[in-house]
Amino acid sequence: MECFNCGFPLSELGYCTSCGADVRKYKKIMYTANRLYNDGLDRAGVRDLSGAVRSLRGALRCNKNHIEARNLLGLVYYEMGEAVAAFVEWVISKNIRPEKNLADEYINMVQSDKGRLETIGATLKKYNVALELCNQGDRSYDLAIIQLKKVLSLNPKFVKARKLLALLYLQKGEWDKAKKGLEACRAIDCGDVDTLRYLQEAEIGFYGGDLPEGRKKKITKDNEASVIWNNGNETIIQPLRKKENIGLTVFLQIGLGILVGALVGYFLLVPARETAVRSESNAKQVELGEQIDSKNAEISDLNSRIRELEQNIADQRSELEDYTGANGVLTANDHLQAAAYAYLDKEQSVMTVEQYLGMIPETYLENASPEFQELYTYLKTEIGDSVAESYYESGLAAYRQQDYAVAIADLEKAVLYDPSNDDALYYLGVSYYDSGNVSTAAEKFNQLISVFPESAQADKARQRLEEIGE
Amino acid sequence: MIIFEEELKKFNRSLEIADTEDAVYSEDLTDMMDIFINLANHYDETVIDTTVENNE
Repeated sequence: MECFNCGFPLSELGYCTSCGADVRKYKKIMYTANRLYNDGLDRAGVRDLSGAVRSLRGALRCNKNHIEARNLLGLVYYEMGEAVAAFVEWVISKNIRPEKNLADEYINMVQSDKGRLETIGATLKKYNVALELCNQGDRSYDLAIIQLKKVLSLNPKFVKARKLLALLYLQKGEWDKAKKGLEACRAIDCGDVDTLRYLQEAEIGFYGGDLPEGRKKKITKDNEASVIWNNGNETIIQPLRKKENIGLTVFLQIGLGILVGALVGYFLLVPARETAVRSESNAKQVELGEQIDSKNAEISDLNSRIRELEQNIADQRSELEDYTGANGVLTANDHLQAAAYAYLDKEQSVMTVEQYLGMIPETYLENASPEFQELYTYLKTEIGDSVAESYYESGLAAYRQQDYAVAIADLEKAVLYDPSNDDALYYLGVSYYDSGNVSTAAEKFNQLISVFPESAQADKARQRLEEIGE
Repeated sequence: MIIFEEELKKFNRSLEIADTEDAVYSEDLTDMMDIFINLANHYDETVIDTTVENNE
């Protein structure tokens, strides 16, 4: 602390040791300012903002140069939504102490956020408009309420706007809205006397306490609160609280809940379940389809296998029929026995023997018993020369009659039974030649030339080959 | 019981941003120290004048 007269630092004495000025009152004023500042600081700490404003204003009245008190006052104003008042305090504070001043930070904080600054300006203008509307009378209260709601949506901490809105609600008898707004107001500034007064009024109105003039509360014998007032000559009795049938209400609520639950279940859960079942069914259908395809492929394989087996059975049956007669008796043995009998019977020709032997299939011979094969070979050897001669003669006769098909068949057998018969081989070749089968004829002529090169028929064969051109 | 019209009178027009400069300049910064110093100076002058008059 310095002397107000000479600026010399003061001691604990009641006068200045430099200039001798009496500083007792000066010190008292300074101490008072500090005490009020401390009080304001404490009140701001517990959100008694109105009390803090009072204390800090007092501190500044004592000492206008108390920078901390002025900065804190600005901060409290800002918290109450009165940004311009806060700004004024900070500007003055900065002018008093231009450097190392916290107000500088606050000013920069507000000025740097242009959007916030514009919002603050808009809220202040709307608040002033709402206040003017309030002063215009009853008809403008609704418009004022709309304006104040806008203000509070932009700046919810604007205490003055909240208080004014609550006052309008109180005037309109909307106790619950007033109460709600005032409780929010008290949360920001718990020490505002007007707020507490309005809140008390709102609570009285809300809970049916003191009522506007002309109305009074009455408790009936049924302990049911009602309001009685006179309207001209009529006495109006209005129950404050309507008795509710709690049991029925609860029952209806439970029923409604069950109904809503059932509807939710029907419209939400059932379609979901149906979708799940449908997808499961589709998956099963796909699986069954795959199984059906697999089975169809298997059936197709089995059918082809059946057809193959049926073909085998038919082949086997056909082969068996070659071995057996229509009555199931083995015909090969019959033919062999008939051939043997015809050979022994002198009345029958060798050609009959040969016909029976020819009926025995060559495939049967390959798997026949040795005895069968031996008898077959014996008979064929014994009749070979005679048969060959007979076939040669019949073949030659047929050739001469130009029946080349018979000639070729008989001459083939003649050559088969007697390979040394060059005449038979020659006429076989000629029969082929004359029948038009030149290639086979040439083959037979070459065979003749190679087997019987010195024979007369070989020379004829060479001439024939020259005619053919080979 | 509150009277709406009376309560409404307690609400003042809020300072707008355009009013900031005027508000700063119009702020009454007189404090008790100013009054005290003024009184002290006035007291000193009165004492001096009285002393001079008595001496004369």
